Amino acid sequence: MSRDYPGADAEARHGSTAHDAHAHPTPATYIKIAVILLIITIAEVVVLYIPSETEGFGLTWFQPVLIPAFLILAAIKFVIVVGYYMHLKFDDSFFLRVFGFALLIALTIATAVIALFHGISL
Amino acid sequence: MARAIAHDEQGRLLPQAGHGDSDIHDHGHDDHGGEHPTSTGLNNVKVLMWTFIASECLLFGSLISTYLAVEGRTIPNTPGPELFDIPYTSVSAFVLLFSSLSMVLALAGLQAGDQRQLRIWLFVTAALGLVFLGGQYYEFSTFYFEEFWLDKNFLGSSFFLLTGFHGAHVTVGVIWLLALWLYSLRYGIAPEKSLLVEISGLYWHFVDVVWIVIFAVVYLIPYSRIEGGGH
Repeated sequence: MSRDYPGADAEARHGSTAHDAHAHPTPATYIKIAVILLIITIAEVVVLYIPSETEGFGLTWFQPVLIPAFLILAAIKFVIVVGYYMHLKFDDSFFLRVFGFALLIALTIATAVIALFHGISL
Repeated sequence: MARAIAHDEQGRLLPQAGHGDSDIHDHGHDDHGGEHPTSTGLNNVKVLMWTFIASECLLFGSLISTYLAVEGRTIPNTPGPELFDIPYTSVSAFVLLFSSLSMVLALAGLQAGDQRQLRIWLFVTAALGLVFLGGQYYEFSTFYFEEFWLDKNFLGSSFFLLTGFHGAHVTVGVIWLLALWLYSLRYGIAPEKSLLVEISGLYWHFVDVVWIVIFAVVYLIPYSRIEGGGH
């Protein structure tokens, strides 16, 4: 699909430039998403306490993967909320590009600052 | 002033507000949330909101970066992440996540023409926001009495700046939601004005996703280092 200008997605879907309306998920879907978010939040806390509570059971190998695990779980929650609750998955791709660009800059700044202050070099 | 014509998602004409429905207030002007032809083909208010959210990404990105820069480099023997009560903060995190659910249910209720659902879920969302703020007040008070505060070390400064800014955003969101709720009680909000609720929802969900990041990066990761015996 050719998308040469903002709103092209909405126009293609609705046949009019005046509508960036979109088919939102149903309330039942929203509730299922909330349950998934709850499960992930519980998983984050459980993962945190696994190494300290299970040292005697040989699970201390889990410690080094804790930080990546937290980042991945947070990223999943982030994408779900932005995609479904903020409707970015269903809206015109222009909004995704605006948000994605800002997010990319923010992540770049964070990465650079961490590298600079914690002595990580390429 | 010419009235905008309301359409549903498939572009069909919708009944106009204020005709035979006393529950919905008709202001007699363009109450379609500004949905008239624009140069981009997108609603200008929505474009503005997403641009604002993008700028907020940079603000919180900078604040989180500042916290990460000083984390682990604080003055020895001063309070820090060991004071975090993770189960308590997890409940706060879920309160905010659940408020996002109630927010989308409010919007879905409005789009279905159900004013009662709109009012209930708007109120629930604002109430959950207040619960979160109450929890944050309790947490800040606890930290203060444990000598972890803005002026104790760099970590305290960056922590309270970041979480305080987030709390300020939640406060603005709660005021916004309560204003919408009162407006819906007094006048009702017509389905074709759902953009009013959608825009406030975008702001509220953004505040929620910021907390998702803060919860992982500011609370869980530093605490896991302490639990795991340092770096």
